[in-house]
Amino acid sequence: MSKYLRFVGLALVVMMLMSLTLGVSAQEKVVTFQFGPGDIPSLDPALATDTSSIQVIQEIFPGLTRLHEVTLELQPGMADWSLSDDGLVYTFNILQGVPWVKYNAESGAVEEVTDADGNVRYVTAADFVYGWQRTLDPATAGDYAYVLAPWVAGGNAFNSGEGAVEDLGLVALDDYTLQVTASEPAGFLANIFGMWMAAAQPSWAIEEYGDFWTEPENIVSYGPFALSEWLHEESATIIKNPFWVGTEAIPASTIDAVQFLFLEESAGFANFEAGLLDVTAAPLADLDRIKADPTLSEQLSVGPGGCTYYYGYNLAKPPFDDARVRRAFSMAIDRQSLIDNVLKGGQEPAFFFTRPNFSASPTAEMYPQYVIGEDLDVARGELQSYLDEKGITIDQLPPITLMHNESEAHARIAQAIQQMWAENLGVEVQIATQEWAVYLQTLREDAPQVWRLGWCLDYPDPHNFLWDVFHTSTNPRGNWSNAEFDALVDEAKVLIDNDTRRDLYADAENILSNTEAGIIPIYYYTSLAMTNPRIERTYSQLGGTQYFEKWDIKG
Amino acid sequence: MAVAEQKQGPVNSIPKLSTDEYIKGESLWSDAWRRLRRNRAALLGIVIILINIFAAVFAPFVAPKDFKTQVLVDNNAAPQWVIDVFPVMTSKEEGGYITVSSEYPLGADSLGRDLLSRIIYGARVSLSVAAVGPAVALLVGVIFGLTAGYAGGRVDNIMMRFVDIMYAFPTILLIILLMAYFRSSFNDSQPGTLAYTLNAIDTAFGGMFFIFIGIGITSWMGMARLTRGQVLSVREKEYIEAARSIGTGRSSIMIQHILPNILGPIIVSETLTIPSYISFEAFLSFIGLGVNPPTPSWGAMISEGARAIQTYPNQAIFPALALFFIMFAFNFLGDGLRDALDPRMRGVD
Repeated sequence: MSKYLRFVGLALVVMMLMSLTLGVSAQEKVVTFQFGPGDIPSLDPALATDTSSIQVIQEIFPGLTRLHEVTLELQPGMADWSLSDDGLVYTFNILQGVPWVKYNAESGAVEEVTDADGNVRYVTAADFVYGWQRTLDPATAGDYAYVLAPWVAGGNAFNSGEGAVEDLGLVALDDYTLQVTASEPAGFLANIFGMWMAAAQPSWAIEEYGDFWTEPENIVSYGPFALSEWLHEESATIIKNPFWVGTEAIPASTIDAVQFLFLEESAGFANFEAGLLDVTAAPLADLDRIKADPTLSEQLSVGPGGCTYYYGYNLAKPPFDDARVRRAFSMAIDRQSLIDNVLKGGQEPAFFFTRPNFSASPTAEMYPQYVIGEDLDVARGELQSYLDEKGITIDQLPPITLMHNESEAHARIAQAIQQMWAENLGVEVQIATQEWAVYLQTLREDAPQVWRLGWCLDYPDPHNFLWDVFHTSTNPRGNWSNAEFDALVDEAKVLIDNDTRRDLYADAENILSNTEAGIIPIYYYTSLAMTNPRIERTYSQLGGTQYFEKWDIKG
Repeated sequence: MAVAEQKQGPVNSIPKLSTDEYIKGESLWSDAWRRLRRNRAALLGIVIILINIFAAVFAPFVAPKDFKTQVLVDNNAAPQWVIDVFPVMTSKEEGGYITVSSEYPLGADSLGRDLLSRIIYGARVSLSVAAVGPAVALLVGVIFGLTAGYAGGRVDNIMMRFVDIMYAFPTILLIILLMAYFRSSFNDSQPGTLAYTLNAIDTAFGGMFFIFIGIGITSWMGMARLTRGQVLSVREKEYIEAARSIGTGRSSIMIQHILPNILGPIIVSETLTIPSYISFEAFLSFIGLGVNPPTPSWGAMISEGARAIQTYPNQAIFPALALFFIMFAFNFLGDGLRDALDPRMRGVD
């Protein structure tokens, strides 16, 4: 009877959705939005690392600065800022009159938070100082602290447990002025200082509730939305914060609530077709039908995504301890055929890891000499030269495992690539899958020979792709470590001129994706979404984060 | 394992034979076969099973294509008749989205692999499980049950309490746990260790080996109970006493005198349990713990097809039909065998 399980489950979800929809009064503007299956990993700004956590956090804890979701232009978020002439001292003027708020489940309304004396608590520079200190504190063990730490004076020392918190270049000059001293000047620092792990955090709530401060009954926040409900493994709801002041970049929301449902793409799409979901990812399996259907095709949006899909190697495990083998496997993938026949979403084949649309990005067109190419004769030649040197035949290669996290789309891509390697190189690889949380742990502890991941932009600069992911000090997955690469990205990070930086990043890409082939860049994501026509929305290019305060519902 | 429990003890009384049959000297087995032949449903079951076995054994000759060769440009292609059968599918010529291709008798999957060939190769997985489950159950369960039942007393008590403990685990949950454990902890082991060897064997079997172990570990308890019950019901019978009185050895009594007399219910019970083994495998593959891709399994094919059931119904329905037929075939055969092997049914039909 097991095969009916999924359908029974789907029916239950449909019933659940109906009951939820019925519970909301008709006048309210509620957007229902499909999130991936499983739970939101964390709503703690200091700990979040993944797209679904960041999506919710961006709406309830906006950072000092904010990227425009379409133009990728940097805008004031919780503050506007000025920079000293030496490029080291950032002075943030924090928005005044933004109260900390909390959802009251009994009254069903968002309320201002007051202190012991009954005064409204406003977001101040001290809250940001506390937030930064907590994120950088080694005891917090935040996975994104390493992005912030190198740029704040004293940050690396404090984060590694050697320095003192007082030595951080972080001062609240008054209630609404925050001064940050950077360790080095760089063009993208205002971006990093505005990321979620650098948001204001409520010291009193965290001290009172400990690890449970992000639960809906405890959490206090300040952004355009507030968390009203979080049914773990099932759904989460954010509702409009009426006390949000509204700025040009973050206006007060016109919609009343956004409900995130944790569903597989196929289940999400079934609900969408039944009119129970407003926005869902377009599942690969149904894409051809969607495009051919006159109604569905109008509801489909295909836009650039903010992510790169890639396969990594474990450089410590044979045969991938040799660059020739790594290069051969990269060259033996027909990326365009994969896109045309398996992915079908207008993706772009990737030969570099960095997405091509940032001002300092090297592209395959600009640097064709650094593109690894898909020449099968060269691929076979490199593999053969490795085999000859080892004195073995292709059948004597150690068994090779390709691992991906569980997902329909990843499985298809893996099987297509498995076949390409079998056909083009004569190498049979095994495919293994793991559940997302376990998979991430496996990659950290003992990565398999070949593994898949995607990387989505945090801010539009190659530094976010090359340094933040593959610099040796970030402890990259799969034992990648290359001194020459490190030197190039270290040199590029502090330069101002984008042309010079682009050349350096191109050289770094040449090492990472071509000569040493530490990874196989496969394609640049597009975002394929289905939207109910009653929704007026923006199409974010941030790789997963939507700004719902700019959405509306017609009629 | 509910199925195994129902079939207790049809052969617990000495058959009343008419004089005619004494004259013919017909054995239980030829008698059973005679009655089985008259049961049309059971015969149909046998035919379907034989067809499946044939397809599985000679898959490379029967299947029109290789099960893993991908023709990516033919992804999700379907022949015209499939499009006609399923009204939701429309061909590209009619403004739809299906690539029409007569190359694939039942259509191609999302990676351009022939569905029919994958279903035919998939029979290998299902039938292997259908063979391994009963094999382990018969080998371990029957020996265990025979020993416990015949030895009796304390030995019996200890052995059966062990079965009770094993029974306490919910079967499906136990198999899921075992599979998850095997897959995650043996995957990355060092050469030379037992885990590595087991993983290598599993790889060679396309991921079936761990399923065999999982089903093997959980399949024998019901059989052990049934056998013990049967042994208890016959061991005090006069013919056993007679055998014992002329000095026949223990093992000889067990194998020559008891076993043949309890074999009927055992076979019936095991045949009726086979569909549950097949569904275990399909279930495991459905939730992604089954065979390794690209090895085709009906459960995995249904799982993949079900996600696109609105768009490409053929990709889920055809493997589901294959599973449906084999499950029914074994159930019909089991029912037929029960009727045929139960002496009390003699002369009823």
